[in-house]
Amino acid sequence: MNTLNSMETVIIDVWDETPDIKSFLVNDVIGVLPNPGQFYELRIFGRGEIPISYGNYYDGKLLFSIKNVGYVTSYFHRLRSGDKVGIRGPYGNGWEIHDGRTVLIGGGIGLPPLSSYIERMIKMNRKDIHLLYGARTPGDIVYKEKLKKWKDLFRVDVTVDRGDETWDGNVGVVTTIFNRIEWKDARFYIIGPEVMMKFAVKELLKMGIDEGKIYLSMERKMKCGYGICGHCNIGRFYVCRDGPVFRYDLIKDIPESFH
Amino acid sequence: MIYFLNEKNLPDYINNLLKKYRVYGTKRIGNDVIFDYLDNGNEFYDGRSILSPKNMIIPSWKNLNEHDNEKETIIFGIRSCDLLGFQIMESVLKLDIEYNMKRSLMHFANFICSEPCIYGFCTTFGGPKLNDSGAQFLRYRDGYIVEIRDNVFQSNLMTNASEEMVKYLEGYNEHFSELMAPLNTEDIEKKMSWNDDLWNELAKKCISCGACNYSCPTCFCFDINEGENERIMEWDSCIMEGFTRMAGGANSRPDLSSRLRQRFMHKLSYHYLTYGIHLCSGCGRCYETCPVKIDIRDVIRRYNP
Repeated sequence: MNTLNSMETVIIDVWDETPDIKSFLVNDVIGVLPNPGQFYELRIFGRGEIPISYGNYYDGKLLFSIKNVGYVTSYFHRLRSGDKVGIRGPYGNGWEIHDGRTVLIGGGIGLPPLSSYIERMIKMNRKDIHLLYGARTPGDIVYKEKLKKWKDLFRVDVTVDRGDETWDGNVGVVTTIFNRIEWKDARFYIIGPEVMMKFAVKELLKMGIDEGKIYLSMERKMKCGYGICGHCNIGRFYVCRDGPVFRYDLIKDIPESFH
Repeated sequence: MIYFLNEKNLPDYINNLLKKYRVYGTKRIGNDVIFDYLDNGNEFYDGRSILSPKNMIIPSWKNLNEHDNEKETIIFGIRSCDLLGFQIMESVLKLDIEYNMKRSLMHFANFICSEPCIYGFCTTFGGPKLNDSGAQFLRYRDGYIVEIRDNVFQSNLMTNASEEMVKYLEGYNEHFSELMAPLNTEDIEKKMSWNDDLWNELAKKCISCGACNYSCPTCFCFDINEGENERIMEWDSCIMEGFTRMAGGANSRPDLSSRLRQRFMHKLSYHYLTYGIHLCSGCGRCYETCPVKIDIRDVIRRYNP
């Protein structure tokens, strides 16, 4: 819905994912099936609005995972179930559901937007996905239950930048587990901090992956969500409207796409 | 259809419009020409306003929690550069439900300048006579030649235009171009360079005040900020550091040169690459209001001397 007026919805449940990430389950009052990777503008009345990708959509409920990084998100972390929030969306293009295999590469809070894709694939009984996920420390891993469930269905590789005594998996940034990628002909869906995406692309290109097979979900200040407020303009694109998912070869020549 | 309206009849003509519509027109306060709601036809002043009436669709400040009653409105006396501004912004804003509602209730009576202004370069972008407006008024002897495309502007105060008047109107842009030579914008969208030292040079002068954005009839960027009982929509400026700053502090344009580059490349390159139209109407207000006199015409000339 291309309007600045949000609808009111209720938080059904809240829980901690990590020390600085909380998940919120809210009623979908909009009634539009979102595309995986799309986002909503969530609002705390009297505080402000933030663009957040949804993590899952089922049974008329939307899952959002929010990291406490700024003014509005800090107020989100004070909310409890039963509290009211504003919502409008879904916005952006999202990840395209395609016929072939998909390698998903996520960093930190980038997993929820991939989760919406994974959950849709599971619904379609498809297992031709491979997830590589990196977090700073074992304590920063989100969706631990989901990851366990997913491991039984398709290949999941998780790595952490810094391990601890509980961690027996790989230690190192996400590119250190790229040697586990077996599908060179797959599509690569990447989301995470910009520096992580930058190095991930660099590594994939070194491995001989075609530029046109790499897709990135970009992050910019997105106030309106549908391409009229101007904040997220990069080159000839508005990230909220034409993205947030961009095929790499279409944005690689826009010097500002990575900063 | 093309008509003639004697200037003696202009106040009554506006009074007739006021019987049915709100008229937001140009009037004079001291030496300034501003847009305001007119109470009667005598208040109207045929002149170039300090600011474009773009606040009718992108309010400089508006509480979104308060809903106003939208009424059919005539924008009366808008100059061609500002009208072109509305048409250019529409390419982006038409995605918005509220914009379309507001726009469908607006009619434009465009007054074409009878002589070039000091800073303008509207001939560069197809002005000053445009081919899309409800009504276009062109000064002629003791009145105006009026070309009407929207029936709300029909009036029995007008007489049919003579052949001579029609000819004058049709040849007007050619005549005007002799007085105001158009700049060459050919292929500028491809020629503009990201790494041009120009952006650093401009950054040494610019004081980041944002006047260029606020005075621009095509700058549509706005911000939304929320307080306890208000949700404010207001003009934003890509020259300000906070424009692209995200939660957590990441900023894709932290330095002034990158923000100046964004402003000029959005205007002369990016927007054109998507919509086939430059995000500039040649009004010259950015140069007029700029305290350090950064001239967009110099940017165009740099790539097309």
